[in-house]
Amino acid sequence: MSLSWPSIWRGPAGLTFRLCLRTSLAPASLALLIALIANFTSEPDLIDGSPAAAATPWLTLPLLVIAVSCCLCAAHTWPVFALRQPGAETLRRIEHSPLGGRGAVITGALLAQLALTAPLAIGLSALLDAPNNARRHHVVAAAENPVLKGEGTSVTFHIKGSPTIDAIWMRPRASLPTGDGATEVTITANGKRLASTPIAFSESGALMRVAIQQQPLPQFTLTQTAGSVPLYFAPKTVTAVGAATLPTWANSLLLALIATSTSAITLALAALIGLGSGWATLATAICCLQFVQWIGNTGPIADALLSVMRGQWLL
Amino acid sequence: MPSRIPSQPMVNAISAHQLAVTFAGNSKKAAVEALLPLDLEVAAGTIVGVLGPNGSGKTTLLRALAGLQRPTSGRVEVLGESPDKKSLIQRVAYQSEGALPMAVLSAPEYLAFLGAELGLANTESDRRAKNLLERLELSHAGSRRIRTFSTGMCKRLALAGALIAEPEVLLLDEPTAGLDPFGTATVMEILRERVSQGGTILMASHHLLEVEEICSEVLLLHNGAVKARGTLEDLLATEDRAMVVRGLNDDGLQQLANDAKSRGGEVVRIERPRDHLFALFRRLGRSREDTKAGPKQ
Repeated sequence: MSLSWPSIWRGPAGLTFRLCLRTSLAPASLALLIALIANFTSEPDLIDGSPAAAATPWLTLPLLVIAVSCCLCAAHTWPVFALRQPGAETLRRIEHSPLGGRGAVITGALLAQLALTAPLAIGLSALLDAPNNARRHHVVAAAENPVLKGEGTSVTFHIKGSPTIDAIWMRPRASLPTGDGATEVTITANGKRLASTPIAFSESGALMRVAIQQQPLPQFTLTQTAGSVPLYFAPKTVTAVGAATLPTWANSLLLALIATSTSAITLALAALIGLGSGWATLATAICCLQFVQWIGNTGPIADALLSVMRGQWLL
Repeated sequence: MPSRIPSQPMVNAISAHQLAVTFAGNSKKAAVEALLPLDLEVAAGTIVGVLGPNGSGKTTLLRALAGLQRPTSGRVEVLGESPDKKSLIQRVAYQSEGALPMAVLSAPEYLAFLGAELGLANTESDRRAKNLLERLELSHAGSRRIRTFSTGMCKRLALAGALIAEPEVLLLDEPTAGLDPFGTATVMEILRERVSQGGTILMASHHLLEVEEICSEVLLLHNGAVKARGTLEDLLATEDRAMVVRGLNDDGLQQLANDAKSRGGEVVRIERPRDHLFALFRRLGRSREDTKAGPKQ
């Protein structure tokens, strides 16, 4: 009969943590199975040539199921969350914290979600061959109008903090050509060429990944050496890429943290909604809030998941 | 079972002065006067029954005393303090009429949670939980979730939850509703023990027989107003006097009846005394326990 539980398991946070794990495990497993079957049996729509990145839409399913079930479990476990829930009076009387125990319950639910999501994200990125070493993408800023519109024109980009770079990715927009031939561009820094051969652009939106010798790089210059296709380097279309200081599993852990942030927002809003609504309304609101953030792409999670699968460091 | 409650210097465990509760209305609904101004004093170490039809204000009164319902006017003190004080969480327990929270837990888990919330040490909480579950015949439920419990089991667990901190004051809303006679008898026994140890109990009930058996005082509410109050002796006494005779045969009884008539009295009825069903179930319950215990060596 004795439970032999330490105190931490007996409070609202510990109880919610255990109940969320217990409740979410089965639906999460089922969702994971469906996602894996769907991913391996469907024809992948490759994103940047990466099968792991192509799996992103399916991987959203188990992570979303965990988020939704943890939030629903938390709100249901603690009846104070919504009006007229059975047993709320008992808890309201003994729970004298300013938030009526909701803070502890939300903490427990988020920890449970993290405990389920982190191994899943780490395991899936490994299973689906996401790049082993996460790459860090650095923001670059053009010093002048970022347009190459004729031979000899150039654009210089600055990289904040002079990080160590080993690749430059470009996806310029092309205008109508004024003559024949693709535009060729060279990359230089301090007067030295960073890539041995020029990069040719003939269509708009084509991604070019240029590997360079690893080096600290404060700035680099793109110079048009040939061709007649004007190129416009809009913001975020040129990226300096370097190795991240931490491996991919740390990146996956970051993804799990970002996933819990969506639930933190959901449960905080749910606590407010529950002040004036019953359980059915609250449950509907929780589902809607999660769907909007995950599927509706109003939250950071969809981009973060894609970035992890592409091997892009999240910070 | 629980240790003796330290004796309190105060005379009244509960006192209310001109306590009134009105539920505000709106454009569609009129305001409801759930409790008209009432004065109430409950002496420490007594059981007071609150009786009345549905909607008479029993639950509202208990909720106000538990600090869950802010009075519209008047003053309430429980153990000398305002009922919503944090310091009373352990000392005053409220068993609501409604369902238990966290129905996905098992009974031991639920009591462990309550023990932790009420600030009990883990070992002490577990010890009390074990005793209460055994006493209220819930040990067999084991790891079953509360949501699978019958109404009676939920009631018994709710009482266990109210008793886990060994409170000085128990506010019970229909503590025996839905219980079988054996369960009712056990609950009554536990409540009597609490009072004998110095505890104070205010219980709302529709079970008149139980109230009559256990309560020293009653408060009758109707439409939020107190219609009668006092000890059962005072409230139930009539001007008539009855005599209970034992050991006479039919002839002797007839002579006694004739004598009563000759003295101007009226013989209402002559009948064989019988026990009530509640006592029968209690006897059966005792014999069941004896059977379970087996023959003594």
